Amino acid sequence: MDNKTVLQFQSLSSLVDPTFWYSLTKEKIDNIKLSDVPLDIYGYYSYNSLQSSKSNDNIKVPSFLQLNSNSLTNEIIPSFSFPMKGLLKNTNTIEDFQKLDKKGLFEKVSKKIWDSILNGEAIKCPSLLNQFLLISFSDLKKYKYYYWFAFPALLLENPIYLTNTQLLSDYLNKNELQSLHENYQKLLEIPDNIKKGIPGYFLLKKDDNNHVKVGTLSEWEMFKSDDKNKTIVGFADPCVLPNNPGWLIRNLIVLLKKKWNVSKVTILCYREIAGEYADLSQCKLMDIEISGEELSDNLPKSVGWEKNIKGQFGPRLANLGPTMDPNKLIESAV
Amino acid sequence: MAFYTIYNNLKDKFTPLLKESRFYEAGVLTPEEFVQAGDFLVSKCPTWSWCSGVKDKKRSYLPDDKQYLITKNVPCIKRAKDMEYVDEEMERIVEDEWIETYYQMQKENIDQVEEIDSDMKKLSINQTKKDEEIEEIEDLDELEEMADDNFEIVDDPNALNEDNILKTRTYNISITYDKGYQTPRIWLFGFDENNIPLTPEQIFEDISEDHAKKTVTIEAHPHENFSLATIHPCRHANVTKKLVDNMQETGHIEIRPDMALLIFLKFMSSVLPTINYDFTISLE
Repeated sequence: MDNKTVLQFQSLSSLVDPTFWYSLTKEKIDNIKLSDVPLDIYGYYSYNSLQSSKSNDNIKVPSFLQLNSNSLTNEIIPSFSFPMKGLLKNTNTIEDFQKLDKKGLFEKVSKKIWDSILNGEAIKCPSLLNQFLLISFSDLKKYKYYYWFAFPALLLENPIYLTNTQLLSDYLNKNELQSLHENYQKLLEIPDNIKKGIPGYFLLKKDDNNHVKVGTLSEWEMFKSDDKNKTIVGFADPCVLPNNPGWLIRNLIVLLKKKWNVSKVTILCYREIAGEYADLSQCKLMDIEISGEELSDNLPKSVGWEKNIKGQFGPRLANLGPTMDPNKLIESAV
Repeated sequence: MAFYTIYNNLKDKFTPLLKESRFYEAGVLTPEEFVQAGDFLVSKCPTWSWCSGVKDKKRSYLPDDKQYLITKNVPCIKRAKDMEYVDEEMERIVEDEWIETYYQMQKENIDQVEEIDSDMKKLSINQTKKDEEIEEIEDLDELEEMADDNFEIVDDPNALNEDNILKTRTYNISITYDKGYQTPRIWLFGFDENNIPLTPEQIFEDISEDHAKKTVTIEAHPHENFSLATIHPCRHANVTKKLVDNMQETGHIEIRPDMALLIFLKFMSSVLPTINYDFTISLE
């Protein structure tokens, strides 16, 4: 395949565990009260798609940005997962929610991402690339939560093109795959790495003797292409589609362009199926083309508001009355 | 608080902890065996993990960081009534040991509390269904009103048209140790195709018909601060024992207590036929 097509990214979806709304409600009553100052929150996403075996080979569920009871404090990142830092703007009334300066808040997060690229912080702490925004109104009397996520992706002037797609297992032999997995695990074993999202965006290179080296973005000079190898940038991919990468590689591509003026690169969509033995059969390599001039320092445009259940740009509603409202609980249990 | 929940809490409080293993004899687990079985499950199926739950609901007979097990984002594509494939062997054992005995129990009035609960349950669901529907329509209208006319859409040349991508319901499934019945107990929290929480009524659609009407209730989760659909554990021990006996007779491997959760999940799959949670290793 050598037909140039426009690379299409699958957007990221949010999934909010009810424990998040519960802890926000409690925090609102006990501490936050009427303040509506934006708060830092912490979510996570995973590169591990759950694929149930035997009866259903074809079901693959993408990973979502997830929030849970720890999201207000950032205590725990589950296994197979990486952090995403967010900004929560929770209003006190539905009117305030409607009147929010959405564009301003969205730009604020986009600018944080862009600044982390400009000052190089994102190379040391790649989770800065996947910062998100959550605006919400919590109707504490009815246990109804109105919310709207945005995952800002900086835009380049030209579209990004896909020139070739191949299975990782067609590029690496069995021993090399094994070596990649082992070396990737080493990155994961350092807790500080997980905190910074270092294994979320990484580099790899075939070595001699069936080895594959795995490195961090800071090691770019060592990993960029030479006469034997192409440059491969891996990312923990929440997406499960065969020909599309997930949303979270977008800001990394912008970083590659801005920092090193990269025009051709191969991305590895790292997708692992959990099981007794790691299964890398879903990993994809995609050769992409990033055309255009060197980028200026001006904040690019960005996109990334999540669509609602009707597929339109708009807020969502989680009605937790049936599981959280003490009055309703009596109703349904007696 | 529901009569039934009070009854359950009392049962939980006054049943002494099981100290000696009675797994082979009665299909029940000690808290230690539950933890060992959980560790075994997590090691074989890494989509499962241990949870510590909320602090004020900690059970002292379980380790702090191993209060209950959870697996998240489990796909559920079809509703239970659309399920064609049935594991007949499993169905037979589960049916015999569970459904029929449950009927008998009700007939014989062994456990009036459960009967009352189950009858009331049916009543209250019928009543609340209409209210729920009305509320859903109201919610949608409200969201519609909140649409922002000034919302500026920025053109994205690399956007993917996602209209045709298959979306599915997903479940968070947790397994707790039920002290009263000395067995594992399963709890369900579901999300619809758009990751919006399912109502209890919608969750019933993913439980096989026989059980949805009889053995599933909405109760307070023992380690979290909300209520979830749960499958009543009154027959879990019997079914477990029966399955273990069968496997010991016919199989070539020895069944150990730390395999209890794999066995448990295997028979739970006939209750939750379309929820594809991971219990991938074969017992045979």
